Amino acid sequence: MKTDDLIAALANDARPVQPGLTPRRLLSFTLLGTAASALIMMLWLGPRPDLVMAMRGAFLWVKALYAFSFAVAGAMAMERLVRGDGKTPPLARLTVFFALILMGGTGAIGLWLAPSGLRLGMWLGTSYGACSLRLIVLAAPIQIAALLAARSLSPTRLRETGLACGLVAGGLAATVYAFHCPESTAAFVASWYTLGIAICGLIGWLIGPLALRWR
Amino acid sequence: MTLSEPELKALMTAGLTGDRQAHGRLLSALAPLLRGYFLQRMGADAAEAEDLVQETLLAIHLKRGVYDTTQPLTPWVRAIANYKLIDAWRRKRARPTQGIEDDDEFVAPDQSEGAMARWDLDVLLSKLPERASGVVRDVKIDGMTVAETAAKRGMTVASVKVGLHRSLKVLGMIVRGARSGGEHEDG
Repeated sequence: MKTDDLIAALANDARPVQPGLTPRRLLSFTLLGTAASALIMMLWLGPRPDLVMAMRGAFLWVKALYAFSFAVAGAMAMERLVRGDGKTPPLARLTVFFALILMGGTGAIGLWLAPSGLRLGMWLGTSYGACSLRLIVLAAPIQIAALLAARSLSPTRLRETGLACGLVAGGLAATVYAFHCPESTAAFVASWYTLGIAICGLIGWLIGPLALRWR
Repeated sequence: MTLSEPELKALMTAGLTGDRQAHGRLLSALAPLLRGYFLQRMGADAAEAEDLVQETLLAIHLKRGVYDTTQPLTPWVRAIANYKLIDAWRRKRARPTQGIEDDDEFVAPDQSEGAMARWDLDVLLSKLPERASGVVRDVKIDGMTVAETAAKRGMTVASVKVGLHRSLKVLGMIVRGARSGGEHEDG
């Protein structure tokens, strides 16, 4: 086909495009993935038995907010990266940085202040072995949705975009998981939540070049 | 028919609202630029370069809803073109020494000679006052010495130097602004 003919055909096909495609696509896919993740959490793990009580306290919301901040950072990066010429905005990096510092710092101070016999228990809680793994499972539907949404747009930095998808998935999965998780120390959250979210990000980074290739 | 960034962007914006004529003019204006861009990078394989031109035009058409109208158009087109180029290399696996996995390396704006580069340069220089852009052209592009430029333009050597320094700084700011963190001009 001659290039001029192609141009004529494409010009003829130029229907109006609704503005705001990118945020709408990302939001709808991610919400769908998160709904799936929440459903899996309810059926598989169930909410914590004392959820109503816990929701009146602060720490459940601290956990959820911590997890959510990674999703927000990932979403900020995705919104730029899926366009092709965008880069991760500094604010996204800053958000991750401050979340890590705040939770890590609080956790470290908590451990430091605690009697030495309690420290290991505070750090490992009762579920450290399961936490990160569960996060990865709960993140799977969101990860898939985010990658599909991104691929339908025009990312060019595929690893970086994959990482952003992974952070969105891990962050939202951990937000969902906070409603099951019975742990109550910052040291636990700073370690095992972070580990799970980081692995989700790593998975995205690894599969980005394959999963995000578009034609 | 080299159109400037604002003209191209205006055509794109009009095309997005359903203006077929503007969309066609945009693609027609981009085609030769893309052709030069790909020819330079694919070697002399004209057929392959033309395939890439068509693929890129198609991608620009299909993905135009993704383009952020608050940003300049040229970097977006270049990013898409670059992506298509990497994709072609990946399929061919013909450039093993280029570290194909390193997206950053590839997507970074290329400052080398070439249609896109020259075109960008013209667009950039047109943003400077005529006297200033003339000095930049003489010294940085045509390779004249500062003294020759001063003589040619009836300026003092000092004023050429100062003008050059200021212009490059302004250009650097425009480039950085347009690309949110591109490469530095020497200043």
